[in-house]
Amino acid sequence: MFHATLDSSKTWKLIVDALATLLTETHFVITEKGMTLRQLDSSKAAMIALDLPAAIFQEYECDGEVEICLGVDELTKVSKRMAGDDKLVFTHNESESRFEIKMLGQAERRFSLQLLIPPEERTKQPSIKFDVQAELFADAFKQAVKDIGVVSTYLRINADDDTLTFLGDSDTGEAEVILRTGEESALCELQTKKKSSAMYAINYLADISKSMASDSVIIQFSSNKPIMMEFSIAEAGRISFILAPRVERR
Amino acid sequence: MSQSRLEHTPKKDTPSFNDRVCAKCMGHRSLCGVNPCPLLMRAKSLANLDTSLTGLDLIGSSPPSVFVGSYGYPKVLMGPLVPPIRGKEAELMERPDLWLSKSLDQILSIRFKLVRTKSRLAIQEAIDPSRLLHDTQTLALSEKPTDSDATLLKRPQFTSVFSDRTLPIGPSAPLHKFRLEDNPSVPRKVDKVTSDTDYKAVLGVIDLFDEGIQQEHITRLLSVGLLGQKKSRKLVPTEWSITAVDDIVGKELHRRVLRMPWINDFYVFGDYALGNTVVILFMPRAWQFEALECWLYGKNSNVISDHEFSKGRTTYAKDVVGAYYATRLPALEYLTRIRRQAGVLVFMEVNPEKWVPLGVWRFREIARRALTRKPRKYSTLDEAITEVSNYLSNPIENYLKVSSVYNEVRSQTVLTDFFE
Repeated sequence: MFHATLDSSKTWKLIVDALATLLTETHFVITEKGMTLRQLDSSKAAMIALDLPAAIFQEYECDGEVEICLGVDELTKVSKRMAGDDKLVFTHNESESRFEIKMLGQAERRFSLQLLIPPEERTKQPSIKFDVQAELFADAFKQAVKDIGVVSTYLRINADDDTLTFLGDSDTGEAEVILRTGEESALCELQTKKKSSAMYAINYLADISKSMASDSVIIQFSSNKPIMMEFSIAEAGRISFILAPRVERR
Repeated sequence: MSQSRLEHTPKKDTPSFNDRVCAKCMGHRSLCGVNPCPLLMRAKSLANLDTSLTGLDLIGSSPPSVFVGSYGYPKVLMGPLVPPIRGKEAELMERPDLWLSKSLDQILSIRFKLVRTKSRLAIQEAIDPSRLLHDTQTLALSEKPTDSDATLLKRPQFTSVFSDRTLPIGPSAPLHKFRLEDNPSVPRKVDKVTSDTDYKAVLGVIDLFDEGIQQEHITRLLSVGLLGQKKSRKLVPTEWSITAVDDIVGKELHRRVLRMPWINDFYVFGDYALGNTVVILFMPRAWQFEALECWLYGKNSNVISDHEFSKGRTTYAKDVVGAYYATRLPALEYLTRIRRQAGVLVFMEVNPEKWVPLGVWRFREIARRALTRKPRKYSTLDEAITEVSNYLSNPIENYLKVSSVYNEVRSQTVLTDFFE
């Protein structure tokens, strides 16, 4: 049994948009503590982790553990029908294997979605240690990705004690974006255990950065290791993306 | 003119056609300067029209086959292809899947027996067909040769022979009258899909494919405007409908393949026929596809490529064109059959010395034949690439240099490598 209400359809839309950047199917695991999701994209180069604690919902009720597997296309289509001030009600109908989304606004609208069969294996949250942690304005990150994307198909991030540098090059030229810590800088915080440098595919970063809905984003990475980009949603909620690095031709 | 007489007789050791320009010219632009076109001359001798056709009446069994031209779209020249012979033999003329073991001259002589009849129709006429179009459509429904009777306005002539996408086309003539003498034999599913005028063409094509209807048959139905919702039915030029069917079926299989688990090894398949080599490499990856095509003009020939990543592509593959869709389909068919997902590289090599334009079907059928065999399996990409290079005469580096998918596979790591 699962039942929850959410006051803001905007939050839900942002969540669905973030899921749609990487996935074709969503696999939610719902417990009494809240809603979570851990999934790799089809190429296994990227991962999305979503945590929505029960507290962000106005009403929340869940007995035991419920797995909900839905097609992203269907979720996106439904969320497009939501009006800005709709109140949302989610219900899991076990007997008919349906997931119900009700929109309460000027009219009461009910969408009932067919559940898919959940995958046998669950992806676990990997425990990766990072050498660099930076907090910066999401907008600054988005712009940096766009800037580097002008000339390059990959983005290299270098970090030392007080600067974070984004680089890219190709036959057409080079691009560089430098962020230094300090007052009025878009880089709020930078902790570097050791100097690090890593390269990531720009097409993934572009998609991921588009779905960043908060003001600031936390970036963590190590040399030639995955990068984690984390931002909050509806205050207590959290979305993080993990992306595997590109390496020089093996 | 004295000059043209000099060019008239090519030197003894020059090939009967020019490797470089014939592919572009297709026998009707005389780019090589040899006049009359040696290809056309060969076609004429193969077709042996003079003895087989007397007068303007053409009585024979159509394979069945229909050709819709693209020139002048949306007012196109279309009509059934009719050989001046009757009987079962005609069926072979529209079955490229049975041609791979034949020689080029055999294929051309089979094909050139067909006379292409032409009449100019607006594409929208498929909504409300005239008697002529109706009979042509009825012919297209049939899966077996159907006796027919055509009256021509002129004696058939060779104009253009080859197209890069369609089957070779024989002599053509404007059509005066066309009549079916026999009832067509229509598979039940074909009847159901074509008579449903509220059913979308895309769904219709997929249904027919799942039912195991010959791909040429589906292409023919789409081309004569028998699929789709009533008000949007139209004639589709044959070369467009070939790629359309490849793409529609490919998209559907792509959707199914995305849900399947990855293969575990690298698979290599290769085959050769009619001057064309096709090598297919399957990699344990998410679905991605790249077609690499090369014409062997000499050392280090240029390789052209088009690719897609796991989401598929939304724009037309404008470099490799029809061959892209014609090889993507067999690759997807194979993956659906083994219920697995993989990243696919297709290497195509064309030897212009042993080649005349036959249409993209050759890539599709060579690939299909290769994929019926057992794969050679390798555990590393390097071993698999070495095996691929054994089939090809152009150095493999030239292919890998331009391949986006290969470079992506080489440089993008997988997250699971970093999980403990």
